[in-house]
Amino acid sequence: MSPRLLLTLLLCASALGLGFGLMNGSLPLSPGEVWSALLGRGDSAAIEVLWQLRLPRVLAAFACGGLLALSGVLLQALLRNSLADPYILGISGGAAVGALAAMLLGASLAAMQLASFGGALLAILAVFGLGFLHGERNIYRLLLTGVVLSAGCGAVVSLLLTLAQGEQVKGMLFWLMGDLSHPEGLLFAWVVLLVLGLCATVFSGGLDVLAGGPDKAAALGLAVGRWQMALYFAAAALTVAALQLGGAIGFVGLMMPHAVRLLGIAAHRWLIPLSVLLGGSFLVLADTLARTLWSPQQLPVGVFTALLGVPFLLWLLGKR
Amino acid sequence: MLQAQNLTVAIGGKVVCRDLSVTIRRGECWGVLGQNGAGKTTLLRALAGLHLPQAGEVSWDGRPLQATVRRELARHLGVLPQNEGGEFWGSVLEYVLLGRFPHRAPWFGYSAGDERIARQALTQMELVELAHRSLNTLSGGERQRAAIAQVLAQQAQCYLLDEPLQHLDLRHQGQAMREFGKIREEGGALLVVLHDILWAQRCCDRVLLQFADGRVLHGAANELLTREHLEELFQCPLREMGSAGEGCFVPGV
Repeated sequence: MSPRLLLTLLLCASALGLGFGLMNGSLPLSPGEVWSALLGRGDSAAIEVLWQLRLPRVLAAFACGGLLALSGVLLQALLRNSLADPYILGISGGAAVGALAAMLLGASLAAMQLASFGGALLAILAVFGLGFLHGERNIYRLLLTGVVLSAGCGAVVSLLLTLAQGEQVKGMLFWLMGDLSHPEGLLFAWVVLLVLGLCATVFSGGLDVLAGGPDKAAALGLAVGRWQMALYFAAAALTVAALQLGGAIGFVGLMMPHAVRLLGIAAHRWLIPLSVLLGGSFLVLADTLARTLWSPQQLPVGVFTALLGVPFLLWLLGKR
Repeated sequence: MLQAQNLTVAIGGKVVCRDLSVTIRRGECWGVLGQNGAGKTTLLRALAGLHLPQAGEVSWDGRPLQATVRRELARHLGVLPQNEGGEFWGSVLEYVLLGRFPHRAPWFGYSAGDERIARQALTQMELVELAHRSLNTLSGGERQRAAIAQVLAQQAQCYLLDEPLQHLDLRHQGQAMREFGKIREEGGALLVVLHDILWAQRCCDRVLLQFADGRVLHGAANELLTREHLEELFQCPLREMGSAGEGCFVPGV
């Protein structure tokens, strides 16, 4: 499929996805009602619901999907491993330990967000310190350090879950499976997404070169060390912003870049914007279904990303 | 062009080349021969500025490599590593286009001129029909030809090539060596790691023999490629077939 056609299709899909998210919920709105409420006209309840609840929610879902997809693309290029996802380096593990520990202590929502941010930051610095600064820069060392740290955090998370009481466990599971009902730092997330997405697209040639391995990339004139560091911190910032928005939502960061690749796009110049658009619209769709299908009960969005994504990816794999 | 001065290179505590001083000049083709594990790849990486030497330095046009901006160097010096060890999802043409990376602006894409040069390199390596195939679907030999095409697209003045003939059938070995010969005729220089003494005899005017103990002999090919030197280099008895001086060496089995 030509990249330009795919870009057009995904732009349409993004608009449709956002519209679908704005229309559906406990108070269903028609496209016309959504439009007039957006312009501040018509039913005041509709305006209230749209501006206070739905618009922040769909914007958070879109940004979160885009952030995760972009982080996945960058980490797959940095680690030269197509199985890398935003959580592989232990960033989500650190955030989960922070968030769950705060929940166990009965901290407020704001304190919980702060604790998860702190946990993620600690993990980022630990992996960077142990994996990067130790002698020769070795990407396998970085990967292993991250995976080991992830495993450690996983154990602590299990421990915290065991220690928690009934209602706490549910909140913890929601955080672990991803939940967009308390999006925090929406403006920060969009700024990170737009700035890093634009930078990554503009300098995407370097990412293509990096795929050939560090020797080849250096021989082609890339400052490999500086690029690796920049990629690491960019991916970390993207992941942290996504975690703050919606917890550890699985599947999107690993699979969206692969879905675009399976459609025949490999050059990062196209892969980056297309993955971001696909990730964003996909997560809006998944989140809308998660909050409406069993309403008033809201389901964790992470369940839907996998339930929707698995058949789609299997279909794509079968087609190729 | 490329000059090594009192270069001592080691890897994992083993010295693979001691106190080497050598200059690669325009129009020269150097063959590097040595046993498996003698350190040919490490020496080539040191000459490319990708491996830090223990002592001495390598310079390009009088400037030490470590003080040269990699991007600027890449416009003059092309390097073909033995194993890339990367994943590339794109087409053969996109892969070869990466050779134009040092010449393009760091942002935006490749120009029509870059694509013309990449297509020309594909023609040189007889890969035009495969231009739009995914690189991952190529055979080992075809992939190696794509790697050579990529380095040719770099249009450098000096090329360091680590076993460029690996996986290639006889016809494409000849094709590659002819293309390297053209670079030499146009005033470029090459240093090629080879395993086939025959190609060193036919196509290289200078050779560099790298012994297992870190000693390095270099000089005119016709003087150094003797049975005595090669038997010591490969540590096996050799038979010379054909007329002396023009013969080829085969292992005595």
